[in-house]
Amino acid sequence: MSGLLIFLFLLLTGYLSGRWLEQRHYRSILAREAALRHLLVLPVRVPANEHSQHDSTLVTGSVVVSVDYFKTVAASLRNVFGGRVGAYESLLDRARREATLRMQEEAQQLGADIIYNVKYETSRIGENDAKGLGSVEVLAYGTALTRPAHDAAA
Amino acid sequence: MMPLPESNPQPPEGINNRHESVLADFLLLAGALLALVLLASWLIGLSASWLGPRIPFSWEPSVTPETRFLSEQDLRTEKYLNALAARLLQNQPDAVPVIVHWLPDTPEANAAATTGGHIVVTSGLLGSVHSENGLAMVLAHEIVHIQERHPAILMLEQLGHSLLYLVLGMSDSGAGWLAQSGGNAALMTFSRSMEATADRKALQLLQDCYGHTVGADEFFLSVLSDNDDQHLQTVAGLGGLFASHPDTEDRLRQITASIAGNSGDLTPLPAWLLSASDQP
Repeated sequence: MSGLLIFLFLLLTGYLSGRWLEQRHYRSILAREAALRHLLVLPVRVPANEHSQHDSTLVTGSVVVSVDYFKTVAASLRNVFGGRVGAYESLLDRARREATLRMQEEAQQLGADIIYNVKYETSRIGENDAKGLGSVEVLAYGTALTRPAHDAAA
Repeated sequence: MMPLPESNPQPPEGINNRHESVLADFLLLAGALLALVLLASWLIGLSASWLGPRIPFSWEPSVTPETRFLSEQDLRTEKYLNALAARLLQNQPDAVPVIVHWLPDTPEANAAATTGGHIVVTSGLLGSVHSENGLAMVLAHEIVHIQERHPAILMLEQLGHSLLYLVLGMSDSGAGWLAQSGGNAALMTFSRSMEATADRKALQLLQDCYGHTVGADEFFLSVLSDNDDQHLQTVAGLGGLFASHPDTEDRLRQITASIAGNSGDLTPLPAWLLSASDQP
């Protein structure tokens, strides 16, 4: 009986806190994406002619997000029946967009005009084998191009 | 190269993440899993109840208490309990043989039946009954478990559930926990049904042996008065969903109903046995 109560408590706590954090995070993501829309993020490797004289710098954005207990249970249920794991999709969607934003924020601090050759890497973190996803890291990285120093001075 | 865009596009929502209700999805899947497990548990229970009594008794593993040091007095008590069990079974043709083991220095009042026809009786049990009839009721209850092959059935049920979880591929996950809780609830339903059968048939054994069932309620009255029925796991919350035994008060009601209109003299416990049980 006590096991059931603990399970329900963890489930409810995970659901309420996870939902609140997720909604707050999405609000933050949407606002920051709108603010950084001018800083172009492109997957292409070859810069446009107008950027051919720019200096290049590696920029990265990394985020680690933990899955809540409710989502772990919901995902383990999906493991039985199959289908789209919505609980994890929102987690990874937030992680990818947050990593991109952090990369853009770093590029903005460097005064970059644009980021080329953007790539993503994802990895699972923590001793959570066979116990669900645990925490996930998403790393976004690319080449930020900044105007040469003499151009910027002019 | 193609012309550069003016700005990054606003990523369209609902492609990578549909923003669907995780709660609705969870409730649907959890309900489906519980229904699946309950159905499987019910089938396992039915199969075990059918198969258990058909397994040759000699195939049951012999589960006995660990090696105990028994004094002369303990050996005498154990002999008395075995004689009492034999008396209870004297009118039962084709009865499965039972062996009673006495557990001295065990203050908890309890008795249990295991596979191989073994019954364990704790010394604490003597403190919770006033007559041989009260003791015989508890012993008869365990004897019925063995005659009905309940330990074998229970073993098959547990084996079936282990296989079920193995097939579902669930171990240390939330879904696994949920499924096992559902399975346990189903297992306990079968267990409670076995206990009710054991109570009913034990009363019949008492009737056959003593000619009445007076005194059959002694142990249960003692449990209730002690307000300590945790050892029987009768109180397990959620209306007894996870309890292995029916509620003590319900059991007592059934037994009292059987005693009603019944009359007869109580057979006292041997004096030497009472003095032995008084010893620390």
